[in-house]
Amino acid sequence: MRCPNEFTCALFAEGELPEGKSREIALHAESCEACDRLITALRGESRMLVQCLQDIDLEEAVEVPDFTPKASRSISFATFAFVIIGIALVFRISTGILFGFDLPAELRWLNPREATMSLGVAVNAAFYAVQNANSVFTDTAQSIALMCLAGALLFGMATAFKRSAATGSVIAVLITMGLMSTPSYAVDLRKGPAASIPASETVDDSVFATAGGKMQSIDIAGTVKGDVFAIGDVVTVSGNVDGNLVVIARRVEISGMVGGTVLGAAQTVTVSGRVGRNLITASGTVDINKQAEIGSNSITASSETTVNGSVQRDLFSAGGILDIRGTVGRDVAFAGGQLLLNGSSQVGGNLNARVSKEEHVRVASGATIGGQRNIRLPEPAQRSSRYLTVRFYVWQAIRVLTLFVTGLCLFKLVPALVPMRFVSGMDWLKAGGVGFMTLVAVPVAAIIVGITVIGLPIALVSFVLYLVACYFAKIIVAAFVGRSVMHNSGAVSLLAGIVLVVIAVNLPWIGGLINFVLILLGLGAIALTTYNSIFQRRATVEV
Amino acid sequence: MVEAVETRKPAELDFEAVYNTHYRRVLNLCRYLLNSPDKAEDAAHEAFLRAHARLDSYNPAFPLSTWILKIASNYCIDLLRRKTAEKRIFDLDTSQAYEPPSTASSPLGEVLAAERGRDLRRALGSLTEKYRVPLVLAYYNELSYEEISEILGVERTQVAVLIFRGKEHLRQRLGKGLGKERLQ
Repeated sequence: MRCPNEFTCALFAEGELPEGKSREIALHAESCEACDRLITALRGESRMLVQCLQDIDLEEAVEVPDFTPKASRSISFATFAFVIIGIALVFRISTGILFGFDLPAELRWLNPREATMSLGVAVNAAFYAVQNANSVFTDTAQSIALMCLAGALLFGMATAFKRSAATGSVIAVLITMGLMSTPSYAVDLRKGPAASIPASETVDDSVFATAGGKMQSIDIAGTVKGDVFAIGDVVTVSGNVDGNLVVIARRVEISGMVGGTVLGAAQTVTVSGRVGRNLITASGTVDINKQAEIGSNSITASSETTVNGSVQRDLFSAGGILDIRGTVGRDVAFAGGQLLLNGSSQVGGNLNARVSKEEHVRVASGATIGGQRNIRLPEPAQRSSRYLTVRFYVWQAIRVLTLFVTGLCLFKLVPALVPMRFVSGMDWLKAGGVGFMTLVAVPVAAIIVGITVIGLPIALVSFVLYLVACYFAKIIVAAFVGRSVMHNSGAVSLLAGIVLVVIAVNLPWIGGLINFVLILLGLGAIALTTYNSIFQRRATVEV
Repeated sequence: MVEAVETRKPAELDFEAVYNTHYRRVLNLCRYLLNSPDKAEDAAHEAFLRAHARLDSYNPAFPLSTWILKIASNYCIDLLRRKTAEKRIFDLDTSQAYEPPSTASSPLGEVLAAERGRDLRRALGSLTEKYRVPLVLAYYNELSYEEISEILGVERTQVAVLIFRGKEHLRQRLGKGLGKERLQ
């Protein structure tokens, strides 16, 4: 046998060679003085390293600081409660200073305790599900299968290539999109002067147009067969867009035709053409002109919305003024300052309005309303009296019980969530930040996914998961609170935590805000744990 | 370092005694891994907090010190990873992957041990994390290559190469003033 190289000798000296190979080297060393000497020296070196590194214990007298399980840097329950209530109070007082000491009517629908809006959304979602039950459930099943496939691909690739999970997920998404794509999903990227599409041009793909250079305006005068994504100063659509239009601009003018949904954020949005499906906007002013026609619903959040044209189905609006002069096929739902129905206006369904004073809803004599007129005003005196009803306590008890049972199941099914500990204030701050991002990013991503490539079912599934996570979020925080108070992590401490959390979120005046902050923290904690378990599994295995 | 296995159940453990017994070892490990006395104190503290919180998961069949040192190693490596934007700090340069270099230096003599311990620790501190961490895990924690590869999330062969190269860097750094102590 030839003399092995030093690397092999080193492995042999450390006892890290496979048995067969090790025996071979041992035999060789018996007959080769040079190798024997090297191996002996290497062994000595290892011993010396162990000795030198470990000897430091004896050499340096280190004073052992006192150990307190509740570390000085860690945050106690009292501090935690103090900070949460403090945040809620500061927010409440600062909004009080800015808007007067009750939330202004325009923002009332943001109040987490206000169930009407979410109820409306839930009812509509349920109707949608019933009407389209067949296709929704088939598509949902397909989407779940697709997500499992993507997950399997990601896992497989991450394992195979030992790449980071981030790289893996990008590859998996690309592959999934590649597998799913049909020619209509191709995207035509356009920038600057070329972003506009002249009347003579027809684009078969989706268009992603961004303004640049001197040309800050984008004009779609031709025909686009796919979707249009446009970002610019002034975006005008005078031609035809067969798919959806997603737009961010200072001014948006639609005089042509959009076959799908318009999703826009702009200072002013003017529609004088036809939108095949929904018009969803967040903007300063929205004008739906006389010639305009919205094929499905119109959902707007703006300081002034004027409807001169027609909306075939429902009109949801939140903001300062809603002025209806045209026709709405079904219901009108409004939350905000003033609602004006002109003499020429027609509403096929109900008129639901939430305003601060009854006289803020003005219906002219010629206006027709097919259904009922429901005007809801704030209930100033009744709010505090809810604490005096038995019903309230029964419901809270049911709430505690539901959270408790869900919590037990959750921790049983996902034990990884049990050791979730946030020791320092920094950890909580981070969780809050991540929670806020999750709270904002997931619905936005779901909406974008819903109207673009992969489709509505995936958006629906992620949205449901998101709502579930929001519900779990409070349980996670309650578990932490329970552990901090009871100094153990059993079912009793979970119950105690839940009781404390439910009391906190029912506190008068600030309860809603506490609820919001706790959801942020819990959601952040779930997101961070998920992130850690996926991306740093090895390093945090014991933690 | 052979150590008696802790036979008591976790609930019966006097954590304060455990802390007093193992604090120095954990602190030194954190110092070696993080190369910063201040950060090491915080990390040691955090490691014990985590150990305390996870006491229920400790398996008394294994030495307690091994368990606590593992928690501390994981925590420190997490910190190092967070510090470096590049997560794959223990990867080999692709240009030299798995090709063990021929030796330019030879094993350090045992004679070093007594007087040169301090120099060696200083030399270790001057190594990059990539080489320092595997060496510390191998010779301070006395973990096998397999265990190190699990903690660092890299192949076992890679651990072997990192340790081999790490020792070579140590020899070079110490060797400058220690030519006579080389073998041969």
